[in-house]
Amino acid sequence: MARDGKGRDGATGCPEAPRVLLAVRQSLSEEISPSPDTLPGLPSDLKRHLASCASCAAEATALDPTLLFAPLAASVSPEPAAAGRRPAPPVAEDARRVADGVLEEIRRRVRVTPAASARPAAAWWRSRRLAQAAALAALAGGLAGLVRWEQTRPAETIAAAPATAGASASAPSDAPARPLIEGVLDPRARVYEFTAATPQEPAIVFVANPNADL
Amino acid sequence: MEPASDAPGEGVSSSGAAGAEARAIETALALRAQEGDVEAFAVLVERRTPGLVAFLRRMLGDAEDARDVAQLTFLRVWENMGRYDPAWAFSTWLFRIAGNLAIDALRARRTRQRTETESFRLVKGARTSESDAPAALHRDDVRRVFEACAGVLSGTQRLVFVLREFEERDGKDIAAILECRESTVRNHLFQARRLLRDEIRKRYPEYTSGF
Repeated sequence: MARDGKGRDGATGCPEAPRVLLAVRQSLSEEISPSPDTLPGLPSDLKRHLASCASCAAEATALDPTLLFAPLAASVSPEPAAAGRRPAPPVAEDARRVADGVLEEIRRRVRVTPAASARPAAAWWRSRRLAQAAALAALAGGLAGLVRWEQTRPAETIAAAPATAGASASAPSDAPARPLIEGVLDPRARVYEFTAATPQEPAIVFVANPNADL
Repeated sequence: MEPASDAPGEGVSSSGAAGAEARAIETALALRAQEGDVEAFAVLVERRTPGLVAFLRRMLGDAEDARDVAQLTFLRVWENMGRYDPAWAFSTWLFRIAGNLAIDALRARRTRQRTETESFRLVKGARTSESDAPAALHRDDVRRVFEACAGVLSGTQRLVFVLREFEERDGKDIAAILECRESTVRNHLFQARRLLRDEIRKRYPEYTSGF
């Protein structure tokens, strides 16, 4: 921050002083009765002036102490000031390091698992959602088909069903074991059937599959 | 809420044809990056890193923290690229993620209660004589005064103050970055200014006496 060192009485000597003080007072009054369209604040050129004119800076900070920070504005000093113990390297140097580090990490991720990490996470999330929706639709379709099949079974088949069930309970080797739903291939999936009490009622089937990705 | 205008790498909002063109280029790059195009993302990183690092230094007051948060920001952006909405300027989205991560970093730092005490000691220690008048304040000293006083601000108040006073963004931009109304931005800004004024007057009355 370069100050010209005009001293305490410089305010009256600086031709910009009236404009600066007017702008500061206006900014302060806008805080009391704010305009919906603009945010109060000093224009960049006046901030630059405050950073270079000690007398105007003193008068302005007496009115609004936050103007002490005017020299930190990007338009006054594009290179941010340092507050740490050690002097900070130039922004361009740090930016180079950041960019190199980020791109190295992303390329590493893509190399390690190309299929998963070549796509950003949300794209993966979206496709996962799609797969879940498809799985749900397939399951619902299967159940609906089963229920329809149960309803449209020939009467004699339905009438014989309890007898068949009883026979198979006593002699399981008589008929080959068939899954209730042909499409459920996962060996860990369990299918529960609540058979209909009357021919008019549909059978209800539950599929419990710990591997289902819903 | 309208999409924000684009902002160039140096952190000050631009307007007009150049800004619109830059925004269109970055939106196209971001859409390619959404499909997993690493090289398109690399161009975005190259374009935006200097401005982001400068903003984070102003926000965090520490070059090392700024570097770490900038890296984390870009990785977070890459991981969530599929959620980018092209209705918004890429820079607005980038600064939104960076701002949130910076607030987290400040919160963690505040928990350690390190910055305030260090800055206080440094500022006080740096001024050894009467000749060290405010007129001779170095820019780095002003920065340390800010760090010492900004401890009274919440993360959001500090973010709004930095975006407005240091990055010189307009209310619309800041509202887009914070995903809030402009009136909310105004409230945060006024609160931040009031708190900072009180803190400067209390801790550094010599800087506010009009000497």
